[in-house]
Amino acid sequence: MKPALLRIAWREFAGSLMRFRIYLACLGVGAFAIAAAGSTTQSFREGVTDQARILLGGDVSFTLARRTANAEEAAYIAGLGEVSPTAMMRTMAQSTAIRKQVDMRAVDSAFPLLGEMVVEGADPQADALAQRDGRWGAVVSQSFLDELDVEIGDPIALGTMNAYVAAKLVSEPDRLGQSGVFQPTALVSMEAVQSAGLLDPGQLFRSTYLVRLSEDLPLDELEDAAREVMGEDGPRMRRPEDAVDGLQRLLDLLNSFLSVVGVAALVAGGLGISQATSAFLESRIGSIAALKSFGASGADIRTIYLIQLMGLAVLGAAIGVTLGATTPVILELVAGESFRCRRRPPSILRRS
Amino acid sequence: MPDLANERQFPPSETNSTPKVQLDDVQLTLNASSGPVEILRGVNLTVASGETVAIVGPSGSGKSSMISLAAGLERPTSGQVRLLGQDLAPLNEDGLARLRRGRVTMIFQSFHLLPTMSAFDNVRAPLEISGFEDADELARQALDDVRLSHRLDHFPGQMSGGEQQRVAVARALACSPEVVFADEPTGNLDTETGAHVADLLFDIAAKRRAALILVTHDSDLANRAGRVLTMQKGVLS
Repeated sequence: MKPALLRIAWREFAGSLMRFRIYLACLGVGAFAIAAAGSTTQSFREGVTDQARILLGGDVSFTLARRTANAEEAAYIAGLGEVSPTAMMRTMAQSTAIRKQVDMRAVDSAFPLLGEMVVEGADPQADALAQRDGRWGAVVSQSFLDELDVEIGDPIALGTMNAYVAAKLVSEPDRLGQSGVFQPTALVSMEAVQSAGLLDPGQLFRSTYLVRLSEDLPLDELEDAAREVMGEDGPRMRRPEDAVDGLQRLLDLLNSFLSVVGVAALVAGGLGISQATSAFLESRIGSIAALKSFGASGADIRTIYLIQLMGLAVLGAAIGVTLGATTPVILELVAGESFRCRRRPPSILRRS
Repeated sequence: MPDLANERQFPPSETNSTPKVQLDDVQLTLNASSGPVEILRGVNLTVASGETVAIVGPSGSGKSSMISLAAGLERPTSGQVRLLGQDLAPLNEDGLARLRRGRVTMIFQSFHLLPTMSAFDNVRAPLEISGFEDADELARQALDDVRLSHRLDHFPGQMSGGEQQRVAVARALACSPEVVFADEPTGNLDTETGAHVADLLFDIAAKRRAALILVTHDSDLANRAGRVLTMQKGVLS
């Protein structure tokens, strides 16, 4: 490229920046629309996926009805990453005066793998679930305290197991992902239910192995491999999108909506850029004619204006992409709670 | 910086006595929706080095079309156009541009300055395209010749019409061209400013021995030329 052409292009570009603020704005809006749709879509997906993992309790989980994993299954699941075995069952709780059916969940010391469990009256959680004076510690929900009329420290019976109220359960990170849990809840240790024989054959319970994968595996491939190793009757794998009824549908709808928004943005942005480029060149016809009359070849003219168009395109796109990329942050600042999908579940999934 | 001046075409047949501009039986017919329109009907013209020629005539008589053909900006329907001794017919757009580069310049009625460049850059850009190593110096000198050395950094939008046309004159004459075409150079200027621009144009063209072909409605301006020709309905006499 002739240096003279670069100099001429630069001088005209520098002199025309203010004159082409509309052009820059068109470019910026086009790039912004595309980038904003993309970044917002991505933010939604990441946000919902992140929250869905917490609702599930791990990257994936494996569930079995009425039994725990056999040695072969347990070894396979353990090889996938960090594992937290849990068990869910219904049992009769008995306080001094009241007897009531409750949901009992057994967890190990690794629980929760994701998110945070909040308890009141005991710290740390492991101590709350430990056995003391022949009674296993139980962390119970407020409804449990209310309906069985007990306080922290009171003795209770959970089925055949002697226990005491060690702390109040304020929140479980995967509470929403537990289907069919509507009753007062008691959280106990896996060791407690095992020693009470509540996981023996014939008992009614559902065991779930929460897994935080040690590597980023494609879930389709993982599901196929798990089925191959553990068989059709083996543990059923669940993904984050299975965590809440309707979440998959929500994600599909969200995907469709944002895809339409993305395509519309692409078309509108592309048209804007095309129109702006045409307008730019039309405004330069007089200058091009003058340059040609003074001996500039077609290649010279193309070079001079291509450099300028590229300069304007880079500048406009940089402005648009920067604004577009920060759109989720700006939306979060403006819309606050209703758009904080990266940190919390979407509002429709939150409990009041 | 490469010496772009070497890219200029100097026909081997060109000598000092070769006419700078030569039109032989040039015809131009345009196709309109109402049928063919004859713009030029067998125009003949020969202009030698240092000669000044004024073309006068009513609007629509074909003056500007003739000047565009002579400069190689348009192509005739028939006949031959030679510029600097070179037949323009076989040259493509880039060949024509190379032929004009630094040797043939134009002055337009509406100036056609680059609006986003300063006066200095407007004069310097064609010199740079033509490959002049001393483009800065030549541009400064040309603007000094038209008494605009104090307006180097001003943009066209910051100057009066007369000043803009003086910049256009400086741009056209900075490279000491062999041929200058001027299409109504004072058409957009008031009488006093027009007279001043005309003085500059004739003085500098004479100093640089350029062949000057100008189209004008202004009889005073035309009478300053060495030869005055009249265009009437596409016929030059």
